[in-house]
Amino acid sequence: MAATLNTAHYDINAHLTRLELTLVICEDIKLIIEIPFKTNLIAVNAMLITRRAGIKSRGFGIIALELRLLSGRLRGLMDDVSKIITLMIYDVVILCKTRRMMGYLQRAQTGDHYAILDTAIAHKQSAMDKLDKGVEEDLASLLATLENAYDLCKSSEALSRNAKIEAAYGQELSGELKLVADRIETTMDEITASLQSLIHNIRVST
Amino acid sequence: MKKIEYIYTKGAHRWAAITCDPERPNYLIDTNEFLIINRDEALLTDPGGIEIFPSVFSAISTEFDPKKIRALFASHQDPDIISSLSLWLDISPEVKCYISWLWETFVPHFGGNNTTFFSIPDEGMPIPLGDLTLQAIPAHYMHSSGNFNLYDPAAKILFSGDVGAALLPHGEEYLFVSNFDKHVRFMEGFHRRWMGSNDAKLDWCERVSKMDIDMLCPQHGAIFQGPDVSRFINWLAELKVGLYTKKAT
Ligand SMILES: [Fe+2]
Ligand SMILES: [Fe+2]
Repeated sequence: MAATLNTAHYDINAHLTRLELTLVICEDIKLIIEIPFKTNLIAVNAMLITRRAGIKSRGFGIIALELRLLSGRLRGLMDDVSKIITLMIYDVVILCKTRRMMGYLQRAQTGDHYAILDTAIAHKQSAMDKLDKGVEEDLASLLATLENAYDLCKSSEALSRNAKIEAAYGQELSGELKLVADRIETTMDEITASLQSLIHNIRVST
Repeated sequence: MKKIEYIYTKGAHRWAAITCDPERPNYLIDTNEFLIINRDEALLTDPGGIEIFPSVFSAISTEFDPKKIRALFASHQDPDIISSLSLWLDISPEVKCYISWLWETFVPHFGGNNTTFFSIPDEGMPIPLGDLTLQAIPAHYMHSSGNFNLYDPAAKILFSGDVGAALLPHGEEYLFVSNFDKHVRFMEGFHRRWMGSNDAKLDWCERVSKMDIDMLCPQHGAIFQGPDVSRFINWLAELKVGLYTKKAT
């Protein structure tokens, strides 16, 4: 019995691995959750300089506004991402617990002269199937939301290009505007790269 | 696997003891479960911890249909008593658990919901089983603050939970106490440390000494029968327990 008692803990290995993976994804997500704040910060910065430059940087002002809009949309998407990952961790933990409990029922089954454990095991199995499906759906919607965010950032790549062009018209402030335009470019590149690698990692690991 | 053996049989009224698992790993305290059968239904006392559920269930199943276990009696809230609750509910969602009112919101952390528990008031209560009426007997602070024994007046058996517990060496377990004096060494330390109140202990000894008991069945260790029952009660009455022992040493 000692040996069987121990196997109950390892019995659920597959689910524990899944839990570990979900937690890794969650940690990666925590890193990109800051994205909207970054974009918002540079948008605000750009707006302040635009105001100082007045009429000469009207074009730059439009870009700053666009950037603000982008950060708002990204914030919405990131809120969804954190909700989905929280739900997914919860489901995976329940899945681990159910698997563990099923282990005890299965171990008892060998001595079950009345074959009454079958129903209990079948219930656990169907609960696990349902949870499994739920986790798959969570994962699919997590990927879809992250891809949305990626597409959004990709389609906004033009922003940094235009920012550079507009900076050139900023006359005496063009140096400062160029600095902001460079920051927009670096931040957008960073964001796109981290979204891309997160999506890639999730695809590879699941 | 655990063993199941009958310790009392009178017609359709039986007590079965589910005792030591020789393959139980050392890190788990050994437990005794008692199945009280009357006609076609049964009550299981202190069903045990989650880790030993497979062993308890399988042992019972060799003799009795576990689906006919109508009720569980939890003497108190400890994990070795009732952490298997959710698994018993998986088998029979209708199964009821009798436990002190003190623990009825604590034990659902092991499983169950607001329909699972019959809460036992401090003064105890009758518990019907077939045509029997069992009685929950107060044993508060022995060791848990909300603690009950279960008495079967027809069989004259008292299930005493942790009272009378003995920590028998692995591989040397026995079902009945045959040499009380030798048995003392396995229960002395347990009672000194796990029982906290000399007043509660004397209160219990007084109550139980007035009862007609042929067998006293603890959740750990061995069963006292015949004259060993009063021998145990007298021994416990004399033993200094809890904080008193710290002062004395
Ligand atoms: Fe206890
Ligand atoms: Fe105990």
